[in-house]
Amino acid sequence: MPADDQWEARLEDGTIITESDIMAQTDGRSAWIQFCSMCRKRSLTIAEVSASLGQRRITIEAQGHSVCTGQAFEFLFDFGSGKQEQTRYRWVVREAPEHWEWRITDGRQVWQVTTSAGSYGYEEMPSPREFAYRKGQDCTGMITD
Amino acid sequence: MANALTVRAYVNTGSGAAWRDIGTGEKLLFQKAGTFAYGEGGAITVGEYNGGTHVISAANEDICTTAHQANLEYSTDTGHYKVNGGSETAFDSTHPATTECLNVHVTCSPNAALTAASVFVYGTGEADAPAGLTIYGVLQGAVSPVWASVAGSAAALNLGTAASAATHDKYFGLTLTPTANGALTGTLKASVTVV
Repeated sequence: MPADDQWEARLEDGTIITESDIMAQTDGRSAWIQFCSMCRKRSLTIAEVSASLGQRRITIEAQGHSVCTGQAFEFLFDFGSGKQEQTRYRWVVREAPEHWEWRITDGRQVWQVTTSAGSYGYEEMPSPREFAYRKGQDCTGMITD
Repeated sequence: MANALTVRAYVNTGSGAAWRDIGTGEKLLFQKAGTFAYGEGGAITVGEYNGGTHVISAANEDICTTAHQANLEYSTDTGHYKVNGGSETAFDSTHPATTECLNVHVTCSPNAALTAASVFVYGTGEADAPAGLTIYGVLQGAVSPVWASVAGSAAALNLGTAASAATHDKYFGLTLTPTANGALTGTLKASVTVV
């Protein structure tokens, strides 16, 4: 797994685990879910999670809350013109009880988005395309660079 | 295996019926019942629903030389539909069949769990309904599927979740009726989040 396309977690004791490391231990399960399961069994605490995609790296600190990371895909298809657009993202999120803090990248840009709290295990990345008009409702966001 | 999302149609282009990516530049045509007709000849009358669904090339030619994408049509109320103009059928967990729907196909490497998935159709902006169209979607395989508006992001059709796997497939149907004359279009947005 290329270093510019994977997640990396830092435990409270300073140990770094990457998606490549955890993949060797999985048996068809999601690498992140497998990693979280291992942390629970061994009473390990995740201090920070990062994700890299292309030229970009995003990081979020747990600050005592659950964190999660994954990917998202968006596919746009104009019926009439046939124009298509596909985008892949990596994201990290801190899941505090009152709101969730997201960092999102498509490998070129980075977004920082706050949403209302969702449900653990049902993470739905807020679309960078959408949060501009969702601002003021349940979502605020900004392009960080 | 790449990490990717594609939207596929179940068609037969001459080498057997199979799921096929809607390719770059290809279009999705909803027309009135009857033989394939692009443009005015296939126009759906205002207030009536689509009687034919076709994947067409950039040159507006039907790519389904042997068998078309199934046409799902609103019928009577939100709990009923017709396939290819046949008799009215009530939705249930196995009707319509997956092969009568469009397919959101996701590949994950390494395996990943699907934590969210949705589709909707928009007009000028993602929050906007497509102009001149009433468009409904239905989730195949739901316990009690019904046609529901999928016009604009606030009306996104929830495609559900799935446990860790290398591929994920979700199926949905679309039907529409024009509320105005003219060449009408919309943009389908399919989104998935995986962990």
